[in-house]
Amino acid sequence: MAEGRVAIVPTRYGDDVIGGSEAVLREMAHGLAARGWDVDVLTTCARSHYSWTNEYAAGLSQDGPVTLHRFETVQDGDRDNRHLYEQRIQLGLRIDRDEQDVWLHGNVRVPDLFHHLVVNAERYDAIVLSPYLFWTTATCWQVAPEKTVVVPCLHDEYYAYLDLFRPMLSEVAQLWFLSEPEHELGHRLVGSAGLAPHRTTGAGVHQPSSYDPVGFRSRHGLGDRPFVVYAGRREEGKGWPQLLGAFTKAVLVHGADIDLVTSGVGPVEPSPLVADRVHDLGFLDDAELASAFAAAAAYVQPSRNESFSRTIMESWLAGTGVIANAGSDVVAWHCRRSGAGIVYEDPEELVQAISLVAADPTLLDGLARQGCEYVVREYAWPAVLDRMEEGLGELIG
Amino acid sequence: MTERILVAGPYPTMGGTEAAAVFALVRRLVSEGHDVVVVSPRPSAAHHHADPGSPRGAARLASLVSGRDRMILRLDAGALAVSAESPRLLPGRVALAGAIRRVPTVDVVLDRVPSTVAPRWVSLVLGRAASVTVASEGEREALVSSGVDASKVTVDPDILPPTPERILEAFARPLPSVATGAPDGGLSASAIEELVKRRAVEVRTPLEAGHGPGRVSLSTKPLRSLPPLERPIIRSNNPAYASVKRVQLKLLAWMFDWVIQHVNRLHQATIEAIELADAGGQTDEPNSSS
Repeated sequence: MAEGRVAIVPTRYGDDVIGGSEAVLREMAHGLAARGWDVDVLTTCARSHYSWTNEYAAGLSQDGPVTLHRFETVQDGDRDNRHLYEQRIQLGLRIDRDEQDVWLHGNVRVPDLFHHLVVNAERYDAIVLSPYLFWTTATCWQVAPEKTVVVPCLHDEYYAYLDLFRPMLSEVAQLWFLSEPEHELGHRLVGSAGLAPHRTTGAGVHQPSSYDPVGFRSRHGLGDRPFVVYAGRREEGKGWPQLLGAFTKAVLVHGADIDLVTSGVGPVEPSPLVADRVHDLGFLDDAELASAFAAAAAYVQPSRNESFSRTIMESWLAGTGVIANAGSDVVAWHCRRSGAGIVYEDPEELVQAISLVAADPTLLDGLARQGCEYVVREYAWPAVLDRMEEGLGELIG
Repeated sequence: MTERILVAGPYPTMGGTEAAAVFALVRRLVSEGHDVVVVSPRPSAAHHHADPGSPRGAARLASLVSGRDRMILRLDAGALAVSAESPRLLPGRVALAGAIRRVPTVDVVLDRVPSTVAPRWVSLVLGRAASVTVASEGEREALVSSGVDASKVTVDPDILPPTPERILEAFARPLPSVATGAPDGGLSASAIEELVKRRAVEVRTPLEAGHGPGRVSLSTKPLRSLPPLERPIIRSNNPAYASVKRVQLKLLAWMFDWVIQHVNRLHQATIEAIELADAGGQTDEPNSSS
């Protein structure tokens, strides 16, 4: 007999879907199914969170032990006004509750998914929604708040302060945070209304079966020079220009003999003076990315906007040290808690950290071992699933 | 018997108790096995959106209701200005009446009914309604006195349900903290961070204080190699353009010469300040005591 029946609602779902919360929910679905839960995944037909085009077929299918229901997205909102409100939010300007509604519904809606829950909520013991910012979470929690778990993946960003999201953080059955700083942010956002019952579950990380650092260097023609690596979106909000600037200064001013390897999406745009030291490898599959981490002298996490930072975990697992932006409460928390990463307060400190690693590429190796132990202890999937099951157990009673 | 029902009214995530009431109604109808489609006045979690107060929205409602057995229509009488008799309002009312005529059974729930209701609105919109529900006896009186058949008006104070109770029980279980000591055979994270900070401070020192151990010498060579900024030269061998050229030159001089002079002075002052600092001298500062 099944442990219970759970509906898990990611915004997108599939092998080829890129996204942090999507990956967490997919692993959660399979992990819980493997532990005897009856798991339905309710999601959209979209692959891209930029276009939200219906690329997968709507309907019912099976993904291993998980039953998958896909629902079509609808884009019938007031896009012009949504764009206007989006700009105002980005500038930190206030918009009223009605305008927030226009903003929420102006991009994409999934009313059939909402009404599937209206019809079927009784059949589920728990409904898990994530992340807070998307339509599916911001609306579907209202169907059965008494059995809804939200994994918000909060960042300290203007969106999180919209009135629209506040009742959700207070009225659902449980909130699962990925880190303590995210939990503290939740308290700050909700204030006197009080957070719904909550726990810090973290997110799980898989240990690859093997790494191939030598083969990685050879396959990508990287030679013997040490390198620092960055994986993710190359954009302002993720701190890419800051990393590129610090790397350029470390090489040109301090003579650091080191390369910068990057994987992900977005323009790289290095200075012509260091262009031969910056290697854009584009999209790498999980195995190749793991080998990139293993081959690097350090992983640099320049982003301030992280709710968990899976890449620093993967780097530690690969035996590679981490240099991280102290401006990200979450990443700084992981580094302090594990004692396994160094953080920088300003660009000059990042320059010096890169220079030190260039002078001694093994500098962070001892820390990385400590980080690896931290990840295995705290964020191996079995440990994370234990915490999630504990929460579900309390919910079901 | 299950029916194909269209419910039109405020719906989550729209705020207010009306939206909560329509949502509760939809849940009840669904649990009874009816096939329900929801239309809200503006985008929400509903299947469709159409504002029954506008001619266009009412026309869309008419197309959506086609083929349904029943429509349950929740209207804000205040927003629809039901007490007013104005030709301007007629197209919207006619369109809404058209939507109502396309379905066999219509139940109307009216919020915020004013003390007087225009008889024409009553005949157009409520004439074919099977039932009309309002929240108070006063609202019922207003409708009946405007010509609505008293037998089909029901008073139900519960059409505005209370807001759901909040779940306030909280539990927080932070993960245990982990001691941060030095790893085996290497520097601790805090020791490396200290080293990074010290080096960063040393790099900043010459710029901030002028002197000190480990200061970086700032060569003025790249700055000196920059040619001074000049006004662009207008070239033309055609004598016919001579007068135009003169005017252009005067205009350019008037617009840009002062900017060019400022930039060149700043350039020169920067070179002098750096050379003075490198030679061990001091830059002029307003508060210096030299």
